[in-house]
Amino acid sequence: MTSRRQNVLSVVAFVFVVLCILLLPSGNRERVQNGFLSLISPFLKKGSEWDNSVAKLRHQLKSLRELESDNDKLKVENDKLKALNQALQGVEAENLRLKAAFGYKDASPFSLVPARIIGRSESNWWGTVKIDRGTADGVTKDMSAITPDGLVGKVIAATDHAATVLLITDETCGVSATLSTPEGQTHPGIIRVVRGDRLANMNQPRMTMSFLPKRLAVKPGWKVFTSGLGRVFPENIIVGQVVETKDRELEKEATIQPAVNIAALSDVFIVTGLKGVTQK
Amino acid sequence: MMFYLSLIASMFLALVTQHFTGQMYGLGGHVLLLPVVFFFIAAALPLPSVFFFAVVAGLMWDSLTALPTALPDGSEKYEVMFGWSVALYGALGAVMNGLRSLYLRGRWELHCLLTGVLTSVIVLMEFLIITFRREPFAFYWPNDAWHRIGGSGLAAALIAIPAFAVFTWLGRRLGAIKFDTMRPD
Repeated sequence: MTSRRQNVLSVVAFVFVVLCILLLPSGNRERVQNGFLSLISPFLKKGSEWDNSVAKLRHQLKSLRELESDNDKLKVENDKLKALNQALQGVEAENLRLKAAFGYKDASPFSLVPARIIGRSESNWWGTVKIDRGTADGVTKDMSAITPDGLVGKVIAATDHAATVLLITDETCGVSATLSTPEGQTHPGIIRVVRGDRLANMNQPRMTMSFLPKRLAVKPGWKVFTSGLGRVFPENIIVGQVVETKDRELEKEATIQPAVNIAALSDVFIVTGLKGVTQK
Repeated sequence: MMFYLSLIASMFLALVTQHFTGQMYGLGGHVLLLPVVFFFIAAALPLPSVFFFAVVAGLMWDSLTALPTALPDGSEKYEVMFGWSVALYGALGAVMNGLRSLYLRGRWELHCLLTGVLTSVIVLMEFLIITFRREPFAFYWPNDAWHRIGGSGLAAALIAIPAFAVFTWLGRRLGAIKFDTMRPD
């Protein structure tokens, strides 16, 4: 009887707590969310480092397995050379990547803050990544995330030393965009919102550009750039290219392949404004 | 007390690890670890404790996922209410808690299976909510959606077997779980 009374009381208390949380003012809700992101981000950073080490180790083990069929003498020698070569290739690739990134940072008209991805999407339906830069580095909500290849997404939450970026492949991340032919001709009148797919994920990113005029002969290969009209993304950043089109009853719809390889994303730049001008 | 603290730490670590586990090969569903830890708690501890942990798990999850979306007019929209996961975890935890007497007899095979089913229910509920909130409403769900819902559940059921074994061992070592094998069936 006592246990039953305890259970009833706990149900009542639980319902009360749930109601309090649901009715939490937005300021307090943001404080809780930012506090938790600050708490979890050091662990995500460490986890990201371990994840990279494990991936490297796995890659090396795979190479060793491939060499099993070689004769014993050459195998030992080959293992050593391969391991050394692989390590050097890794260093070279990292070097080239960083050189390209810094080159891009210098050449870009934007003020950029480089950031490393420390956590990938933790759920099934929301396409977000966590980065290791926050308000202390000048990163705030609604800033764009880009790479030298194109648009990545926008910052939707930021704490002192971490932030959450909503990927362009997420359905809720609409991008005002314009079409351009492979020859470089733009169709300034065609400014539509490109959206991710509800089922898009890191490995199968899909986006749709809808409400295109039916008479427009959109061809695969046409590039899609940000129009800057949404005031979140700066203009003329490549979003992706048309891979196929579909005629609907009243309009045409184009499937867009993102310019950025979302699955292989490891670093991004946050656009904090134009060079010499700070974004408000 | 030690056991409760270790369970909170386990939930936190499960959530951190979940960022790196990725998707289940061949199915596409994310490997979700937080629900596995929570459903163990729901199977092993009394109902008031389950509700306490539902608040902890729900707040952790919503802190990372219930984020606002900017609307064209500059305002913000929360497509998932902050705190709804607390209610969901509480409700599903109460379902699992109904089988606690079986757990206390040292039998937890069914609980592992139910962990998979209830994890799928969580993913399904999330999909239902975003489908209701986003335009256009999808009456027909593609196979991809079902694969993710089922894949996450299958992964959780498989992970639940070693996870339940480890937590049960830990709980008994710390004296927080006492099996009553003399209980009548």
